[in-house]
Amino acid sequence: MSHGLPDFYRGVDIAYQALSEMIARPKYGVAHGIQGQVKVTKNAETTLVTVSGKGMLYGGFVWLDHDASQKACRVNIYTDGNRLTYRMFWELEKYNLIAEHAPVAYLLKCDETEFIYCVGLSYGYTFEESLVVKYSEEAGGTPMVLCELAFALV
Amino acid sequence: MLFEVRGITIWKDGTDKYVRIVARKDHNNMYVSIERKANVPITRELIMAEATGHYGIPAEDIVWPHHIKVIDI
Repeated sequence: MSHGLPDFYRGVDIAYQALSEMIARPKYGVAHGIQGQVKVTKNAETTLVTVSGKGMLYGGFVWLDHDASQKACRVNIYTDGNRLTYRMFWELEKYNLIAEHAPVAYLLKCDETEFIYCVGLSYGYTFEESLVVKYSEEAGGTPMVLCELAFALV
Repeated sequence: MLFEVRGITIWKDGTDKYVRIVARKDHNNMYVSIERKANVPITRELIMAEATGHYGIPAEDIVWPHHIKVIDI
């Protein structure tokens, strides 16, 4: 009885360069963008965006333009229920945390005169179940917080 | 016909809430998406009904992977 693979079924001999071209590329799935704005609740954490699925954060930013200080507030990123961000706006500014990935939500602007705040969201953080962006208001205000997010779903 | 949910995104723009359903359709590597304004509690049943209504796919033919959960805001 014959067994095994047919003669025409053969593996590719890389050393022999049996393939004229081989393209290796990461396949992240569909890229998506959203933009939103929420009037957050004072002294509470308000959800701005939720993404359920498997994918990766490409980037984005969260910003607000208020009439009072929000320096003791922060943007929180959660992947699969795990929090990735901890620093308030004033800490990001004090320690000059302006580089992408250091931290996940890095400072773009913290203006204590005009009360304008903005953080960028770093590229490359993957999630298996969910990606959630929240704003933690801890200054007793109700600013309108805006968010623009880019991500991929696989 | 295959309809496999791959992602659900929910966000607010002002006072309105939006939902985007991303799915793989018909054994194709190209995904489709449905986006709706929905100022109501978002549930799995609501999403299934929307997919059924938009594509005419019976609910029992919609594949819902276990890692997909509706996180309403």
